[in-house]
Amino acid sequence: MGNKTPTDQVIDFFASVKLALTLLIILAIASIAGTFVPQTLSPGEALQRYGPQLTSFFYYLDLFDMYHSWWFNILLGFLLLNLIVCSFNRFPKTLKLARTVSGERVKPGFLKKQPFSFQILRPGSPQDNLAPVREEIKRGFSKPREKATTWGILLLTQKGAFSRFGAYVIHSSLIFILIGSLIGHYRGFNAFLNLAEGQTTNQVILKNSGEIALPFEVRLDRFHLKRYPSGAPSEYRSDLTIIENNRVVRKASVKVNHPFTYRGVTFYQHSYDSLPADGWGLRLIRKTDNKAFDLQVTPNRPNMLPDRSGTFLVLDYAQDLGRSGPAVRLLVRMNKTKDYAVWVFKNPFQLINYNPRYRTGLQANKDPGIWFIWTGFGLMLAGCLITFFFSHQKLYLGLIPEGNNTRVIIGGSAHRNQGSFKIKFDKLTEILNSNPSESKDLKT
Amino acid sequence: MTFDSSFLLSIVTFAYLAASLAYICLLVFKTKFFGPAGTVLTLITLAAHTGAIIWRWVESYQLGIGHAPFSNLYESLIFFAWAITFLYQIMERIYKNHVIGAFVMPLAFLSLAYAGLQPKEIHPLVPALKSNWLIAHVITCFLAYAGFAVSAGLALILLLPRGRESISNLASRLPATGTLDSLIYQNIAFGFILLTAGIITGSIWAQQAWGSYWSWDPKETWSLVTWLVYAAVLHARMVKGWAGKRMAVMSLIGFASVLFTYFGVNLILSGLHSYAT
Repeated sequence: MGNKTPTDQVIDFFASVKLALTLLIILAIASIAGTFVPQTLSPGEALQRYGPQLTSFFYYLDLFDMYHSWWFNILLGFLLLNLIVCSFNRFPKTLKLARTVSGERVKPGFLKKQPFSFQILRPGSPQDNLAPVREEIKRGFSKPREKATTWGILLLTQKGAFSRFGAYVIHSSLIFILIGSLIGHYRGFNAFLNLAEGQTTNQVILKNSGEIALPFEVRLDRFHLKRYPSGAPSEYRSDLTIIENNRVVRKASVKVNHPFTYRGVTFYQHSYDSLPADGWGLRLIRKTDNKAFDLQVTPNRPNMLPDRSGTFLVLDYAQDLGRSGPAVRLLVRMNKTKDYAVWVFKNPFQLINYNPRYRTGLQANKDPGIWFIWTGFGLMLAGCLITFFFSHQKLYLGLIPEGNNTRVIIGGSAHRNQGSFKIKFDKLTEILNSNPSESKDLKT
Repeated sequence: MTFDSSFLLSIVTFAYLAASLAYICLLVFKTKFFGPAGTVLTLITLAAHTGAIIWRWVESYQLGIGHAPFSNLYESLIFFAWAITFLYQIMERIYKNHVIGAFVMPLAFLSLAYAGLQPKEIHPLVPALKSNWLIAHVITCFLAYAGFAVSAGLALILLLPRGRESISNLASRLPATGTLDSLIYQNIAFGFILLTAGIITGSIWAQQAWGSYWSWDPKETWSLVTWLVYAAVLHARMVKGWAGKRMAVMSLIGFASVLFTYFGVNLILSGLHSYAT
């Protein structure tokens, strides 16, 4: 103990479970802190809420973007180093434990020292006494290895050795997730784009800052907003067209929960708004001759009537006025009559179509590391199942001739889940306890 | 009042109260009759409870907005109570000990009683919840929560001061410390696997719906905190050999984190999971 080199001491430090427990708890506490300090405060809001001194202290510790701060990443780094060093440190020992002890060194005393152990003196030769338990051993474990030793016959068998490696699978899954998140961070991007109906762009705004150009263009053909009878939104859908080298290469619809990926860039439906500033497409029908006029209506500014008989101004608009559908309230100023305001359903004009020009808000993300993440998730679940549902069970059976009788000793161990092992072990002892004459019958 | 699934669930709530009282009577009065009585009552109620959940599912389709009944606090509390009862009944079948019910079944009752205070209307799903991952995510998370809840109930039994005169009479009927210890561990292990699955399904869903498998949303962060706490507990047990009272205390700390993840986040912090209020 006393003569460890400094290198050994460093390795011991990083391999210790104490470090792992400490880091897990510190990470938990730090994560909690981050849920109580708002993570998206502007400097102004922060100053107002916490005062100048506390704010500069919080900024110093990156508390407003805590989960990406240098110290949080160092903690994560330590945890990873910890589990890597610990895994390498323990692996040779696990490998050794996963094997059954080789026959040479096993003596009857070793069998008696096992956590589960039982012995009985039965009439007959060792081979006679092997018969009744062989099948049961085969069923509960695997085909036993038989070894002739100086003191008698030894049978060795084991089951579920792989379960000793569950922890390594879980630890490696975390490494996969780390690699995936690093790839995502350095080689991917998170961006937004807002597209009005009919608009085309290849520019997306990065979440952090700046803009990048996609290697293709996206056009929003239409945005659909579906509603439940209650009026609550039921579906947002953007119909997109992908244009590459001035050629339409793909058409796709993006809905919430149904993203669309093209050349590694995935588009997600994120938000929408309508664009009253640009006006609406409005179709007016003149009652006298049913002639239709399609107009682009600009609010806040007088619009000329199509036949130049006057002007009108949009005062208000409603998606569903008095449950009679959409309506626009116009102030109409005719050349000959007095000004009047009207909700347009009838009268000289008819609102045929209420088509606000929608603008969709899309996220455009690229994450080449995602498959590392998915692999990590799969490994983690597999590792958990291996660790918690399986155990490594070993069983030794010794047959020692004593005159006309045979001393049968069984010893066994399970590295987890002793209960299920005990059931199997008890079954074997029950067979051995039962009437020995059965084994004689078997011989004839 | 119309007889609908919500009405059936309020009957279920009182039946669970009765079952809890039967188990508590078994603990206090020693009369053997109360054990099987509690079990039979619980099993009948669990069947009705299952029926009510399916009924609510059907009702949503009759309203033309059909979706699995896992979309708000009321519905999640109902499933939480179901998962606790289901898990406890499995445990009772295996370990043939009725007394534990006195500490676990009241949790199911409390969950349903709290549900009774919530608005019960069936609302159409917001677009973000319209996904096949909803069922997988909610079921894994709440089975995990139930495992942790049962382990916390067991931890309470283990932490009862057995030495005292007044309790020692009770203690004779409580399961042995060793049994409790292994049950606490098994429920935590069960909860941990399902919480892992719950976070993973949530993560895959978030990638699909929000474009990011992890956003440090308060709900996500708190589920991670819970995961870290139980990961620490499991390491302490498997490598350092923690057992008995220490495990019981850790189980209660873990469950406190579960409760905050479930309720606290929605009450105090705002975030992407706000439809669960």
